Amino acid sequence: MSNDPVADMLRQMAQGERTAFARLYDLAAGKLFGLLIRILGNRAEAEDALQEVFTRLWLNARRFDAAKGRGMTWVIAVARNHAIDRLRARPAPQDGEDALLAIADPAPGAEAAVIARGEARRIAECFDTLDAARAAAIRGAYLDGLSYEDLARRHDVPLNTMRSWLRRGLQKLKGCLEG
Amino acid sequence: MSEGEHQMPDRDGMAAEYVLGTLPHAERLAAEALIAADPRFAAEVAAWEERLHPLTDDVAPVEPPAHLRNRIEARLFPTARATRRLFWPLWGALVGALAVAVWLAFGPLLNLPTVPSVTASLVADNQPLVIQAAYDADRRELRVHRSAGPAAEPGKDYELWVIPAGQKAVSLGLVRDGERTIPLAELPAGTTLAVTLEQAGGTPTGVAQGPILVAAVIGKG
Repeated sequence: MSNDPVADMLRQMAQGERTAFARLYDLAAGKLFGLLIRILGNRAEAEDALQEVFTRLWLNARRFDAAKGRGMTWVIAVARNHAIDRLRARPAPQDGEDALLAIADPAPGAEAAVIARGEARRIAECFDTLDAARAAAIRGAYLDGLSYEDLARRHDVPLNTMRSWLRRGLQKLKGCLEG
Repeated sequence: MSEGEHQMPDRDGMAAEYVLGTLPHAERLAAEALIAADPRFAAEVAAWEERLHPLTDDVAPVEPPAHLRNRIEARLFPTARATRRLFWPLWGALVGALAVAVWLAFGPLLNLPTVPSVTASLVADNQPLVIQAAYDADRRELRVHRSAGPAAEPGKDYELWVIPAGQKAVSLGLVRDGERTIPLAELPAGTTLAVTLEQAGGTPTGVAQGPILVAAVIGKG
């Protein structure tokens, strides 16, 4: 056993242990379901997605490499990647606006206030070093699956501007987290 | 926007954008290929996943409905439950195929086992299409033909995929009328063969875009 219980579960799943799968489900299903609802914005689709995510976790558990990161980080990445693939596979909205209106703009600062404990504190502090719009754009991409097109429209700037602007935000974030 | 400011090196930027999910589709596919091919890039992606992971602390857990767990377990462990209804998107079809009959015929048992020869029927519930696949280990060839069900509708094609266990799907080309012989170095147990419905000529991106129609998992020898 290691100090990373999810990594242990994934290792056991890679060897076909169903009890490990059941434990991972107990531990992570609620979190993943919440995340999928958040990104997909649709509970029915999130149910489909959750099935697919757990299917992938079971089938691909052997691809998890504890040397590269923690178990839960990998599990979350599998879920987010699947959700984003689903979003990007959706047909483009007819007039481009409906989809944006469907995504509520979170109140500024509301999320920052929630990030306040444990390891999240450090990233919250680093987000505070970014300007508010840039921080909101990074969060919107990560948690709501917004594309560059979505973000550029929302902030009313050209797509390439949005992209280089966001990249600088990411770079600053990285510098802060490593500082 | 001044261009004099620091920019992240391209690859680190690409890794960050991949994790963030903002990469345009084509670049996202390129990043996935790079993850598979380049351990350093994969490590950069993993580092970004680790960096941004605390953002998920914002997301409150939502209890999924109990029937969902039963559905997932029934799908993954089909021997545990007898009945399965099919209306499954992509991966569901693959796992449903775990229950599909696969016949293994070992080559001469006197020799040390090399790659076994295999025949498999690619099927799915409520799906008239049946694709027969036969792997000849000596010739290293996979022979494929449609044995039941209609040809793909006009403007569409059936595309065959080989999915080594735990890896990405690789296209083996189209399945139209008649038998096709496809060179294939190996077909080990745990590999999935699947057929998707794609636009005529097959998916242009190298990644399946249509639904999986039928599939079979090569059984353990």
